[in-house]
Amino acid sequence: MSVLKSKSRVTINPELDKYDKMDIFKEKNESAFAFLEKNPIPAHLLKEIKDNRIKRRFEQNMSVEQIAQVLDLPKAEVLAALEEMGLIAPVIA
Amino acid sequence: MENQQYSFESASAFTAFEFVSKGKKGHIIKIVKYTEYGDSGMYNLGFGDKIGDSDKFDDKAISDNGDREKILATVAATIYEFINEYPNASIYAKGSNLARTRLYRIAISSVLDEINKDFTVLGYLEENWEKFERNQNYSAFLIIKK
Repeated sequence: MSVLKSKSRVTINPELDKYDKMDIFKEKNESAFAFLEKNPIPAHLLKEIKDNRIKRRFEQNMSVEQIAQVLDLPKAEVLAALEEMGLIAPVIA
Repeated sequence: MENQQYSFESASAFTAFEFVSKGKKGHIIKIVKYTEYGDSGMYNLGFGDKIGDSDKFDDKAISDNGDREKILATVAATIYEFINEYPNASIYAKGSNLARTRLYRIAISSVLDEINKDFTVLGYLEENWEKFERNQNYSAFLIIKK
């Protein structure tokens, strides 16, 4: 098994839940979020990433409904992307 | 291979992880915390040393405990645990200083082929996000599950 993917070394410790309520790295978080707001991912890259995520799941034989659910996307958006990539025939209403 | 990362503990929500670095300077408690920006699905990866017995952490500490690779591998392992729980999240990572950012860059480069199987990695260079490539001087990173 990949050392990165190893899941055998994690243990749930509810005592750590307190950290969820704390902004531990407040300064760094604020700086990061300001940066991301100022420097969003370009639309063409976002689209490519989204299309690849849809395609990957389609190739895993997931249905359009499943893909939409898993990726938290509208079904129409999944359908449009699959059509655009030529993976399904255009759906005529 | 198993010794290349520390065992670690997770909060119930898989957004905070803690482990102990064991090296020449002794035992140092480390935390990795994923903080979401509003409800954007964009999370900042925070990483630092616990200060004494307090609930405060220092993300600028240089512990020099002689276990850098093992620590980086453990942080990487938390990414897998986190993304397993939040598969549609994007993770933003940037070191607290140039040296640490460089370290992240080297760490990503060294396992890029493996990371690329599961993730899209973007690097920020010259005021643009682009797909991560080795030997580029990126100043920040974004990790998104494929």
